[in-house]
Amino acid sequence: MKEYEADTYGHLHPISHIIRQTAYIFSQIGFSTVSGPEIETEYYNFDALNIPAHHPARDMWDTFWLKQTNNQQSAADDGLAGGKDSKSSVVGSKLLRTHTSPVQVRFAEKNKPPIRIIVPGKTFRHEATDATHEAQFFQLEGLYIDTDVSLANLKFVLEFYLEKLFGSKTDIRFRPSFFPFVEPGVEIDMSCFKCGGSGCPTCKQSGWIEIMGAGMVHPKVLSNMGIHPKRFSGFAFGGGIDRLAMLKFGIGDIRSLYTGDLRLINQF
Amino acid sequence: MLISYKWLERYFDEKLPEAEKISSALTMHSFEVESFEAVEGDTVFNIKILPDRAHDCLSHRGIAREISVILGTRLNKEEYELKPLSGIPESKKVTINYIDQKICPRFSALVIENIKIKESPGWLREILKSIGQKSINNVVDITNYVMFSMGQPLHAYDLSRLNQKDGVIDFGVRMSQKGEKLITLDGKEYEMPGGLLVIENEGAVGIAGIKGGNSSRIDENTKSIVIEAANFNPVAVRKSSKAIGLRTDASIRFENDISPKLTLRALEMARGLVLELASTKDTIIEGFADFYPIRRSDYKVGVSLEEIKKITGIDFDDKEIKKILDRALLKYEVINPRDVIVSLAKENLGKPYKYGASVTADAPNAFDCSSFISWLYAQAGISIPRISIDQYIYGAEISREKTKPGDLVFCNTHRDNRGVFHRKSIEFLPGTEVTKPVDHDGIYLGNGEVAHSTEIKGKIIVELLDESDSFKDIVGFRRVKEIDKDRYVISVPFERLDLRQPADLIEEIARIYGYENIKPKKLEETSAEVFTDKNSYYADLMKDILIGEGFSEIISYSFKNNGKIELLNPIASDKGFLRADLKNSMHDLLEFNFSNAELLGLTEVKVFEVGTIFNSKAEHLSLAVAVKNNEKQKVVDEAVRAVISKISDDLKIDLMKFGVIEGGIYEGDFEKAIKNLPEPKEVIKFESRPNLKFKTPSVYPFVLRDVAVFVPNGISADEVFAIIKKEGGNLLTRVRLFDVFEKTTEDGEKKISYAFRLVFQSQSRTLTDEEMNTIMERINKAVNAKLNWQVR
Ligand SMILES: [Zn+2]
Repeated sequence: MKEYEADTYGHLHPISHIIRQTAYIFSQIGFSTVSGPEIETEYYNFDALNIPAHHPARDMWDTFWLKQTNNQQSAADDGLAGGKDSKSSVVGSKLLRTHTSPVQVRFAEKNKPPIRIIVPGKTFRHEATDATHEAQFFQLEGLYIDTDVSLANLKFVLEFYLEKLFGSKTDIRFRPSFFPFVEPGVEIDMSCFKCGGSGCPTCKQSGWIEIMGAGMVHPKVLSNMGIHPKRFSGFAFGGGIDRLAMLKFGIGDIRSLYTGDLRLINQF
Repeated sequence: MLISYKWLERYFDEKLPEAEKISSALTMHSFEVESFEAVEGDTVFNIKILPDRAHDCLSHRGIAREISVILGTRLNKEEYELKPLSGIPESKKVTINYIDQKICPRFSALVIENIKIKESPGWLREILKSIGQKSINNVVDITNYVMFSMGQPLHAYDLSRLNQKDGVIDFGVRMSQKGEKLITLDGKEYEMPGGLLVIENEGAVGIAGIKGGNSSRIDENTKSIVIEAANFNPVAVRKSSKAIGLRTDASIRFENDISPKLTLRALEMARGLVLELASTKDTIIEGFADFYPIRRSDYKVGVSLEEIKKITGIDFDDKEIKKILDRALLKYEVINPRDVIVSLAKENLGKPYKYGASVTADAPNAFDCSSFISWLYAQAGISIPRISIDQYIYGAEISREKTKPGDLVFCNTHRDNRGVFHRKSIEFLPGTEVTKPVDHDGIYLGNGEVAHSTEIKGKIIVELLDESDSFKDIVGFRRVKEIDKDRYVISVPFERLDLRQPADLIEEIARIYGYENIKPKKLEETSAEVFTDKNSYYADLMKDILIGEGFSEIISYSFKNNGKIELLNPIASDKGFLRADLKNSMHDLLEFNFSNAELLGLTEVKVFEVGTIFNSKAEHLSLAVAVKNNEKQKVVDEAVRAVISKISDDLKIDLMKFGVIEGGIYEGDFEKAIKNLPEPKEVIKFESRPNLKFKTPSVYPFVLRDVAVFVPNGISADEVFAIIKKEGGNLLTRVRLFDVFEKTTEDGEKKISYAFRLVFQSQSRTLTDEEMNTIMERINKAVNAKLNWQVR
């Protein structure tokens, strides 16, 4: 196309861009892509993931709850986010998933290890919005369960992925953290793809960029999935696709991803 | 939590490392230090303590301990010498009654008489101030100081303002009645909902674990005090706190669960400080009261070298692990599980049977069959499920011949008096079924003998398997995998409620050792084929078709001001529902983008969205495709129809069957449309264009100018464009050739007309007419300067 000709090309949204590239990168090391419902039960979003009702850990996920009507109750019974429900429900209602982990639980209930999946998808958190926070965003999560899985495997996989995604040599750093569904739980920093670690505005001069949370799947979560925690181990990771897109493409405001503004989309 | 450097220093004789070093060491080995800054003679850290460490580290002592473990600085004293309360008599003035231990496992109180309330000394005021706490008076400051030191909230009451009955002040803890009123210390009146945890003293005198009541407050007239150090149920406090929307430093600690053992230590520290800062010549410690009916026993948790290596991927050796455990201040022993299990089983013969006995509270005084086994294994550092059926599923099957001392025997006693035979896992692997029901188990001791806690005999006995009534119907023998490897069995420090299972210990070891020592390890090769879920796969194929046809993908908000499913807690009043379609948001988007068409170099706007929509029955993936241009509606609709049929043809589906075109927008149920397509068996290849970088659009308006140029035949549009681009300068954002025609002049010469639309925009200001005229003149002049070129 010449510079002075009309733009007749279509453009893929940058979020889809990251999701598709991610799916393809992970497929090279045996990971499949799965998806699941956006409306979830409290059981799959929290309880199954070792986040009991009335536990302070729940505060880590500000949740949108749905108003329950009789109509929806019967809808829930015939398919809308079906399956097990919480024994200790807070609101006695459905919710908007705060992460895509429920999809992993649903998948693991139906499939035996080895399991290698990634789960990209829209998620929701009840937070005030600003340039880096949105009430809706896309999450990328991954799960690997086999007989002999370690933190060293996690390090390999995330390095492999981020290096390919950002197109430059990438180191991964683990920092101690806590997520109820993993133990040990770690925060993942990647070496800054812009400056390579010497410090720049992108990495706030630290040389590292906080990119994901991860860890070894908690034995209780394995057990909730119907997987024997002594015979299998696994890792899980999760992070924001919006954040990956913003970093990779240099997009400054997360909200600009959802306004449908072609001045943004048509650059991709 | 805010942590004062000066405060930390009180725990060390050695010099503490610099704040910077502490900050990075804690961040890499413990938890994130979000910031640290100098404040008047101190440095204050802001540390993000997550729920797993909130039990012990919402306190200066906890952080000091952590620094000592990570940096090796020796922690060699309490910041305040603790004198045991053991010599103090039982209080004659204060009693504690009417408490359900479930909502309040422990309630301790210390009565001190004839003290003097005054201002706190400077050191105390300053150290509280550096972590943002206001000084009130010596006694209140002491309670705060103790809380921020060791994590145990305290509350001090004025003894004379409490209600007496027969000369005795009686405390209780109960749930509030709906409508009960209480004025808290800050003077605020609460009309309480039912079910709030309150401190009872002839009426509510405080919201338990959250805030004290005003009626018994300490002020300058106070002479004698009761200091309460309680342990409230975390869920009860959290519910109360949520119900009245009040979170305090105390409630945060209680809702995260703290050890009941802390109450005494906190009172010991408070006593010392009161004597030091508030005593008079007449001060006496009148007495002490302690309600603690079910003592929490010490916790043991074990792990093997093999397990540590397996999960971390670090090639540890025994010496290294021992070094780390020592550094971590964890007391441990290395044991052979079989030996421990068998010898403890024998030691506990004769202990009474108690149905439903608790492994933490009743053991080792009473057991039922499976609590006995669960407890024995726990002593060997192996955590196994609590219930017989789950223990059966947990273990690996072995034959009777291979069974060794310490292995498990399961049976069905056929005494269905409680309906507790189980065919299905209860807690361990929900949904897992076994072929034969199990209701009882025992420990094999060798020589055909089994030890088991039996209800029939009412105690733990040893019998020959072949002669036992209980074991007439043996369901199977099981071996717990961990039994054959030596284990490091740690006696968990009482405040470390986070160390409960092997994974917790593995984390403890790995983080202290340093995660940076983990080397990436490739995954094992897999022959399993990768796949994509159906929705995503066909959506991606469809997106590729649409993009090929010039459509751009938008992703819009799921929250709308109307729909079929309403949110209980919307983020804004106009976002109260989940979208029931995609097309409604598309209308506005089309308008908006069409107004920017020239800026984007578009002659029409073509967009699509694939996303989940919600109706009252279910959610599903919807597809919307839209076109907007200046054509008649019918023509627009036809353009949409054309692309919809192209997708339908390419994917072999019938989108029109599941959707409609209206006002230039198609919307339909994509999920239904692809229902009969085969399950995908691949992941579509996708590679990003290199160096794709986003340029933030200008917020200033763009300006349009057209220029048409007559040039001699043979001159290409490229040549004309080059001049326009050069003369247009930085502000020229986009150029589009919108018209070309040939004309033969009167003298028979062929000429071509090129008409360009020029879009100007500044990143930093609104362009003025004058500015524009200057640029256009410059372009015209440059064009006209060429031989036989002419701006029309
Ligand atoms: Zn950088």
